[in-house]
Amino acid sequence: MIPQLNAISITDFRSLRGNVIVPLDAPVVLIHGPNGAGKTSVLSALELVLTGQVLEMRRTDPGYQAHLKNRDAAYGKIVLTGLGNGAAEVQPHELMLTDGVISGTPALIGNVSRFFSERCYLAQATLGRLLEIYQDAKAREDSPLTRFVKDLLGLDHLDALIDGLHPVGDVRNMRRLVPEYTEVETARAVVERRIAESRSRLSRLSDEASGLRTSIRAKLAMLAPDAPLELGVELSDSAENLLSQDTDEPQLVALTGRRRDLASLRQRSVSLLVKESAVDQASAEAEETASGEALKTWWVDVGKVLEALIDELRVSFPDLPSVASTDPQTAQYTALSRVGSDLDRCTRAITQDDAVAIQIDALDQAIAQGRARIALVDEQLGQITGDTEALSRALAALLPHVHSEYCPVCGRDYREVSSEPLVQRVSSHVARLTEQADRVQSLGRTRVQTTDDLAKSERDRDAAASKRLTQDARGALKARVSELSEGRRRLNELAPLAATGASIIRREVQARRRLAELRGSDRMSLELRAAVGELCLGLEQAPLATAESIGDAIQRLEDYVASRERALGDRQRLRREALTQHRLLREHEAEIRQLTKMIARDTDVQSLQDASLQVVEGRREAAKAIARAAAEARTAIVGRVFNSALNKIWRDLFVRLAPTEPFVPAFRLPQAADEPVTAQLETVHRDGGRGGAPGAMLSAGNLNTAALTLFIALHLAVKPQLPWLVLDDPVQSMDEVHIAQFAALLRMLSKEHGRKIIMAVHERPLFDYLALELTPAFAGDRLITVEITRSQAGTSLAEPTYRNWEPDSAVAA
Amino acid sequence: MIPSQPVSRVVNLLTTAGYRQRETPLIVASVPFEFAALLVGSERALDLIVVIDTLTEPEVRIRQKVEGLSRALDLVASRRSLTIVLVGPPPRAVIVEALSRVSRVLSVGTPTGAGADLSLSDALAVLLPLELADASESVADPFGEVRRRLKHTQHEKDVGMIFSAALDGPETVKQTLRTLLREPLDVTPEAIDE
Repeated sequence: MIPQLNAISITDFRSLRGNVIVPLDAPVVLIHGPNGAGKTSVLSALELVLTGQVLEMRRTDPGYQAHLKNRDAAYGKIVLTGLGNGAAEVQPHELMLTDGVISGTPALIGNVSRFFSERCYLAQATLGRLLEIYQDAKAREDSPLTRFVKDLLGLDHLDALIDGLHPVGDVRNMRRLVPEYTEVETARAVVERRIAESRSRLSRLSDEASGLRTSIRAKLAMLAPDAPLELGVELSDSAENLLSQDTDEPQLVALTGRRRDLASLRQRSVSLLVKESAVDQASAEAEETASGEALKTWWVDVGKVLEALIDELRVSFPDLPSVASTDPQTAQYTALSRVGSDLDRCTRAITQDDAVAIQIDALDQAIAQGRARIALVDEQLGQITGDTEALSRALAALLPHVHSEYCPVCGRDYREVSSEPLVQRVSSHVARLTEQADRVQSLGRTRVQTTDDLAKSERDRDAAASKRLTQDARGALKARVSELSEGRRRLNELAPLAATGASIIRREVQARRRLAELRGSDRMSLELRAAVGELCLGLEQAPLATAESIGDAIQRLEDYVASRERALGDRQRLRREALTQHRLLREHEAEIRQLTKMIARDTDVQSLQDASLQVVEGRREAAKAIARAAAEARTAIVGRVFNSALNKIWRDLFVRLAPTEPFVPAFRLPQAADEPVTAQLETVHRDGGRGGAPGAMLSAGNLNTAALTLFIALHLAVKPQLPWLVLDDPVQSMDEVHIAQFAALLRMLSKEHGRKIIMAVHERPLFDYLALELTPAFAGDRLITVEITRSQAGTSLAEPTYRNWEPDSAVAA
Repeated sequence: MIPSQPVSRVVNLLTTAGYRQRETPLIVASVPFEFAALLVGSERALDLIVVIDTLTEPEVRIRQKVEGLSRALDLVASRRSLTIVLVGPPPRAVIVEALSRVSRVLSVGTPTGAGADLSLSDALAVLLPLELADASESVADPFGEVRRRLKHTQHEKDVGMIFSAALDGPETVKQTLRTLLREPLDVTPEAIDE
């Protein structure tokens, strides 16, 4: 329902004094009055009663309410009638204005109220700054013009779609939005990896199992060729049983026993083998005879001589061994060493005695000298008489008492004896006495020392004298030395013969021993051959041939035993390996079954995950399609709205008012599809090509026209919640051409597009011209002109004139 | 007087726009006025449009004729607004100014070439009807636009949910999207074991 306006009654409001009533019930209401009469007050009264505020005043002075009532009145009052839908009677709206307080409710609320303020009412002061006001914002996105454009475009919802669906564009954003997606993806990757690992392990195990089967079959064929097992792919328990029975062990044990027997036989045969030759035995017998002969000969030639000599020596050395009791060389050597050592002893005793004799001679000489020296000291001591030391001390004590030449002892005048002064005489005497005392001391010391030396020499001589041998003893020693020397010479002569003897004896002993051994070995050989022959039988081998030596036979048997043991050992090893492989095969088969089960389960899991991921992917694709469609729709809407809804109508309006201006103002289209929509103004040349911003390209008048047409374009671009245009003197700065065009435009809006026009104009010719242009053109059309004036007393007066349609007589329609 | 080519173009344009051509001479207060063409507005507009070819008439004569017509209209108290459309080379400024005092003057020159039509309609714009876009609630129908582009979708329900979420802003859209994308993922591997 479009509200109607009947009339507004204004009392003491702003510059209006007293009460004026302005009728509004016509498609066009033109208000005229000189400057200051109160035209603007009428329009702002209308704004106030409709919206509860005066927007333009509020922009400049937030405390404007205090200045709303006329300053000469106690209160102001605005009453608006109408505002129903025309059919029903509606209570008039009434506002009371006291100091700074507006009481009463405005006629319009909410969006409609805002629509009136922004889209219907163009205050005079606003026009000049309209472009500035529209684009004023810190960020261009917040400017009133941008807000308008966005509302117009309905972009909020599209932007909500585009922004809200943004995460689906990039899978990373989607993962952030839906962490569960990543979880499922990760889980799926885990399962996939597990399946791959299981498969690879399964394949490896299968290969290994097949290899094991082949290997086990081959081994079974070798171990039990006579009892082939019918084995399918699976090897049975019977295979394992067969493998578990070790039939070779008893044979091996028996073989080990034989091997030990052979080893002991071999050991015994080794000693036998050395002396086995018959030739050796003959030569041994010859050797024995020869060496026996040699020994006899030696004994007769040398042994007896040596024995006699040793018997001779045994007188002096009773413990010497005889030649017979030991070997001749030892006997000779022992005797020689004993003789030698005794000879040394005797010789040494004689030499020592000679040395003692020489020492005694020397000591005798020293004793004689010492005695002579003592006598010399005594003689010198004898020459120094009296106690020289005591006398010198006494005289020294006397010396201070010698004051003159008179002797203090005897009292005689010393001058009588000598011309030398007495003091000098005493002093020199004291010095001489002191010197003599020192000498006595020194001589005494010399005497003591010499006496000591003498005593020592005498003692030494006594000791040496006691060591001297008697003449008898010396003689005996010399005789023995001679005797021993002879014995030694003879022993030395016999030394090589004794050595030969010892060697002959050793050879003879050896020959004898060897012969005995050779005779023993014949017996053992027979025993060994019997034992070996028995072993040949036991081992089922060829018997011991006569030509075959025991060693060869043992070797032959040993080789056989070893080869048997090897063969049996190989079989055992083969069996053990086969058994191990069989067990491994069992394990492999169990694991293969388990893996197969696991892969099946994981595959199920994966297909479930794939299914849910596919659903998500489908929804994501759908969301992407929506986002894409929304982006396209946005671009399309923006382009269409800017071009057709805004720029087309603005251009149309602007061109009407400024037909000669080559640059036309326009909204600049967003360049990129996702660029935020901002209302930026530019100009375009009529022939194409872009110009600069309107402020830079248009003259002041045309800039004003641009603003005015922009206001009307915005009004026309949206559904008119209120089909009203309330304009406060918009033509003040227009030239006549513009005014004429503007009038035509207003007429078009009023007559063709049903806009109610309320306009204040202050210039009389202009007012008349507009009245003419907007004159009622058809039946029911009406024009109200209101003259606002002041009486002499200053009271405001409003003089309305109603003009109704009359057929035009000049030109027939 | 046979209308010249440019005059015909003006007349054609204006008649297309709803004006009606009248015979000349126009007789007002018994005075006949001869013009290249003459048009009046529709029922709802009291326009009187006079087309003058400046090539065929001297400036002074034009001025005399227009001022004469204006006075005659005043004389009969006609409320028709007078519009002079000047075809051909524009007269001197002083003449145009004199004409402007008594009428609305639209000088169209001699439009030629490719831009002729646009240039002509620009010059006569004030006389032409104002074509308004369909000023519905909002000029745009965002969801309709999106839906047209989606053609056929298997996710009709999801689209509906997302559209209604868009009314509450991007965050709600995001949450709805999250719910939609999350829901199929509720089948966890653990569920299979049971």
